[in-house]
Amino acid sequence: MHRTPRFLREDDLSALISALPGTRCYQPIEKPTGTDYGTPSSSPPSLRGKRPTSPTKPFFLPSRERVAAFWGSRDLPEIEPFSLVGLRNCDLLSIRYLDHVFLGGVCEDPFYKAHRAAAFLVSVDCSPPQESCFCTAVGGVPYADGGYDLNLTPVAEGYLVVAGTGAGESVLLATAALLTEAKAELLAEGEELRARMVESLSTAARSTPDPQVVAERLGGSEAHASWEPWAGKCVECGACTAVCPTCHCYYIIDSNDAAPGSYTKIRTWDSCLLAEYARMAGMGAKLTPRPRLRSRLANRVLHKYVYSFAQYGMCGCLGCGRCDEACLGAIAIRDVVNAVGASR
Amino acid sequence: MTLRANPYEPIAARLADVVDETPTIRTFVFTPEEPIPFVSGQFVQLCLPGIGEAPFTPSSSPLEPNRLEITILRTGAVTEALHRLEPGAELGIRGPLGKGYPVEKLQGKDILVVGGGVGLAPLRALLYHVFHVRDQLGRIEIKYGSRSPDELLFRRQYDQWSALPGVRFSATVDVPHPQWTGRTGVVTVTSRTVWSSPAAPASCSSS
Repeated sequence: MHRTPRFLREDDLSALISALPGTRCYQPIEKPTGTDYGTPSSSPPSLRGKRPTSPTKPFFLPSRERVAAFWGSRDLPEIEPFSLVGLRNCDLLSIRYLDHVFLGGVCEDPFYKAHRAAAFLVSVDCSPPQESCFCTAVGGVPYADGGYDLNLTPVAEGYLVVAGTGAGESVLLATAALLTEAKAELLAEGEELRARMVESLSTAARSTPDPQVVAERLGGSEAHASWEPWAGKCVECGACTAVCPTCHCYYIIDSNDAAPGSYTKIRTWDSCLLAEYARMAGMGAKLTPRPRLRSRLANRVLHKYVYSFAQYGMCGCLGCGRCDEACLGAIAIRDVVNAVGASR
Repeated sequence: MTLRANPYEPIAARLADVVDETPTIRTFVFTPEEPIPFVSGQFVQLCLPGIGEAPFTPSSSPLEPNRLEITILRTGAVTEALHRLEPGAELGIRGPLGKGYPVEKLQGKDILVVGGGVGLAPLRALLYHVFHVRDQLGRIEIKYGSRSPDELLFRRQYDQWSALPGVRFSATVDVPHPQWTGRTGVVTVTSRTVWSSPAAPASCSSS
């Protein structure tokens, strides 16, 4: 594998992108509402701006997907190859997390697997971080150290490009004419950018203790009263779970959209904060395992900061800050973790 | 323990028979279009197109993957619809799902099975397994309780089970009842002292 970065001029970025595999290429585009993924026809992607508002999970776990039919074919989904440009390290880590969930258990999810296999991933080092970013507080860094096909490190006049897989290497071979040797000054510039981003994140991010310490402090606290004030602010909208790159709960409904009397099974996103989550049949007094919002909110935070370590050996919160931005009740998950942790 | 390549896809099954157990509980006999081999403790999703799906543990023997019995209390949208079905109806079954009981750990142990109400339904699959391998087990004690006598499940099988060598079965109802001459009391309380000599405990929880 060619692990020494090559240099790509800014003007040649579009040429590199057009050499990426797949029929579609999703790239971050700056819009009035924020940066988001799209398939621009001409404009170059926004790789030096803010990270996309949306997580990457819809590319692998669509918010609504047909997973079966009564009594349909046994064919598994065929997903056309596509490229995804502009992922940040937190996005790559979220894919690693979802791989544990959907591919690492007793059975593989064929739909997730198909989307995943079709994707070519191009990551980019963060510059600059957003106000809500705090990846360094949960053990992350604002640049990738794996999980990509290609990674781009922005420097003054272009990018340092490195391949992480054979597929990425093939693209670099096919675009060899665009690439030049990255001189020592450029490599140093890339390293300096990374160090500067870590530095600015560490000073900007409101401090959160080490996730392992948080896990120990919060463990077994679901019933603790210190969750109560946060439940008071939560309006149960589910925005945090929708934008969270690692939230993956789903619900399966029957739909007859296709034809009257002919039913398909549709998998849709679910949210553990909603009162109806995990509702069971019957007329008892306790129809869900967590009838109180306080314990649902606690469970979501504890899943990220405590249970994920036991399940997958990694923190379920990657510090992307999207839930902070989306929350209608102005709840910042860092503040919740700090406050509940301090009360224990 | 095998799943289809697409675990979301229901296996078509025909409702072969319906047996009334209690005023609110029926046993449904399904013949799936392909065998559904399961381990006791595993569950399936019963899928009623357009109504939804709900999880149930078969109450029939894991040795008979071509014919699944599922004993169901009428209590919600899916179960109401199930109780309206007539033999011949077609529906879907997804599974088996879950890990099942670690039945290999039962070898050489005394077995105590405690169940209440409709909770005996999923345990019956375990009982069939336990009866099948009873030569390799110690004593088998089954304690079952329900709120009232008319809510006792599988009544016509009790004598048959008790007649098996090494097997003891007893039923209790929670409170005295005019038609009940057996023991009364909540089964978790009446099960506290079963054997005078200590038995080697075998946890039946999945892990």
